[in-house]
Amino acid sequence: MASVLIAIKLLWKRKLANFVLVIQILLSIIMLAQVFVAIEDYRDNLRAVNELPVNNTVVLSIFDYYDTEYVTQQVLSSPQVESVGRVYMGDIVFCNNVSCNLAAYNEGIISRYSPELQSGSWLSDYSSFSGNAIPAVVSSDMKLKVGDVTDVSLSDGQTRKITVIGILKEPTQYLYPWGSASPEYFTASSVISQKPVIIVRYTDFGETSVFETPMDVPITTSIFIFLKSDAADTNMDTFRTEWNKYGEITPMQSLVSTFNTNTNTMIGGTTIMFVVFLLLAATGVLSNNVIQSLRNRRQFTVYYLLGMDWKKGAAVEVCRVGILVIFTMALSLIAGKLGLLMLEWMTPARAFLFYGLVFLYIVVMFTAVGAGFMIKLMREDLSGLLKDLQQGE
Amino acid sequence: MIRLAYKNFLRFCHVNMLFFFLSFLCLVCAFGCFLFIQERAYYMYTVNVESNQDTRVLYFTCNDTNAIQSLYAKLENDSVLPKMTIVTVSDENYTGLYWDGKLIKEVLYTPYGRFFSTEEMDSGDVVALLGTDYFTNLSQENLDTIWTTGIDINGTHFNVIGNYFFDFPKDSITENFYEFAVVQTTITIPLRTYFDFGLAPERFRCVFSQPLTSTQITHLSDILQSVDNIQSLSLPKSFEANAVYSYIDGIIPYIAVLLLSLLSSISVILYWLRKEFARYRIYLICGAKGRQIAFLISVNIALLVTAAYVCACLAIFELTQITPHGLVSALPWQFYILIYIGVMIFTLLAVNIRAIPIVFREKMLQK
Repeated sequence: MASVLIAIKLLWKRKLANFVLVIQILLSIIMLAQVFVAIEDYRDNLRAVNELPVNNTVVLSIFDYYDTEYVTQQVLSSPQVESVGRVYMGDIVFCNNVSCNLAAYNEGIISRYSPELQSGSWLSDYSSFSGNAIPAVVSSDMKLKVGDVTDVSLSDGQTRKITVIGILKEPTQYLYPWGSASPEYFTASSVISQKPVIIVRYTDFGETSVFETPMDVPITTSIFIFLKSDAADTNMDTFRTEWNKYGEITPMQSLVSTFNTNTNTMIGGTTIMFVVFLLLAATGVLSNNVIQSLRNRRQFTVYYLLGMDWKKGAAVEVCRVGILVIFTMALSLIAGKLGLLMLEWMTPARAFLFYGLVFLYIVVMFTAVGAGFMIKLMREDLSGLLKDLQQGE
Repeated sequence: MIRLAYKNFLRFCHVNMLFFFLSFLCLVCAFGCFLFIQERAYYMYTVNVESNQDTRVLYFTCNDTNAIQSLYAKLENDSVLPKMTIVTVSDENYTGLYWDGKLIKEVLYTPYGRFFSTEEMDSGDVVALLGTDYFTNLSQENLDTIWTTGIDINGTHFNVIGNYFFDFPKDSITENFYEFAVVQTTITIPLRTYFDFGLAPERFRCVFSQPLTSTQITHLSDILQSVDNIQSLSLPKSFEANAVYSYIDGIIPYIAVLLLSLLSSISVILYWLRKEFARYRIYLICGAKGRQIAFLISVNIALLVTAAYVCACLAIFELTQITPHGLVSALPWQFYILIYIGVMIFTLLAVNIRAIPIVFREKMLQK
């Protein structure tokens, strides 16, 4: 207890320096949160990006004034086109008490795209739907098993029965073209989602209004045009001339390279900011610990002369670092509660992992310099310390 | 004195090498971080200046349709004002647009087709760009053929050469929109064509090639005052207020932390300098004046700060080279000098305020 009190006293003596130190470390933790989220976001999309059908594929983001079916027919009539892929996206549906996306892939997508599965099989293994329940691949967060049959509540009030034939690998990543942009900015992450999902074959689902776009909300629909292999050498301008009046054309390869560029910029930028604040924090830790340790040397020499064991001095130093670690950790928890650490972008498991990293970071920052001085203190020659205490005399 | 101070500094660094490195390292880190934050905020500033164009945009509405055309001619031939790079006039249905491609490369984004060529704009060709909402009222058949059939404006046939995103219902458009938007209606034609066809503009907006000086703004204001019936008027601003605020917003949250970091670096320097105080006390006993001691301390600090600042600038220069595009922008050289003066004054004051009393207090005690 005495050691703790002495440690608190030492900290209080340099309260301003310690306050600055804690604030600097807290700021670097805020930057660390941004790096963490950027990396996790990248990892969330990475597998799905690699699974996208890239070769001989272009994306056509259809102008909202064109009818998608009409454009699809026009595109299909081109001799260079092998097939056209489309994802029909409905409003949020409910299944097994989980709200989720409903994605209906057409044959073009099913034959060219197969996401990694945790168990079961992909839609292409079931050529057609026969029976009462529609074959579906679901995400693992739906808490269903292969073979389960369950009802899906649609946004129009109807229900459909599905049978689970496959479970997507965790974390959930799948093709879901929810956004589009001009070719320069269109990125692969705009055609990927991580939300819980039920994926079905469009023709199995039958007629329904849930996939119809509301008239008052202009939504750009993207279709995937799979070119024949002998069309690969054809200049992109040829396709642009042919289909550009229907919408904006972006090669799939471009979506992936834009995604990589954006990711590099985001991770690079946040990492540099983290390093900047890490340097500031390291400066604070270094200067604070050096001065603190030099003062402690003097103080502990006096204590030693008064009969205190060296180990007691080491214990005080450990307590001092421990109090700083606990205080900074508590402040970072408060910062998380105040929304400064982007916890809303993390799953509970990731938030737990992040706080684990933060704890390690804080411990390393505080002990890196302190440990060296403590070892030096334990091995110090007493005459040298006394000389230092008397300022050389 | 300077020679003594310089020799003292070198000897002092040599004797306390580790402390010198520690102080130097702390200062380099603090200065480097400070410069990097400045560069980041400066990038935001330049982006804002480019997008806001507050100091370059003139906008007004006028119910005298002939006045706008004559004013445009006046502004175009005015030798005091910079050249106009983008000019927009519009009424309820049509926009007349001029864009000087030689001065501003970026033209209106056309997802299909192309923007007007310079020749088309100069000769006043009958070409048009259509906003995407124009197409929503067309039949499927017309959607495909409009690019060959074109459109009619006041009985004249216009070729449609491209489209642009425009999905703003008329009743939802406010005055602010016209002040900022380059295209203001669903049909856009070259400015010259607009005037040649005798269309009646209600609004005028132009972007000058350079920010206007206060003299030029006054001159512009005088020109506009000579015209009657001008209603809402927005002159170019004398400075980019929004951009400056974004710059300040970009540095304010960090300034306190950076200053605190500088203070913690100063505490290391002070601790280091204390080892030199014995020498200063001897100087005082030998008759040195207080200001001479302050000078010696100041030279020590100035040399240390200068060396650290130069190193920080070099490190930041290298860092700027490898930083991904769109994050930082190199500061103008004036900023580096101002920051140097600022940190020098701050460090000198902070160290002297703390150090001088200690030196004198100990001298008094010895007396």
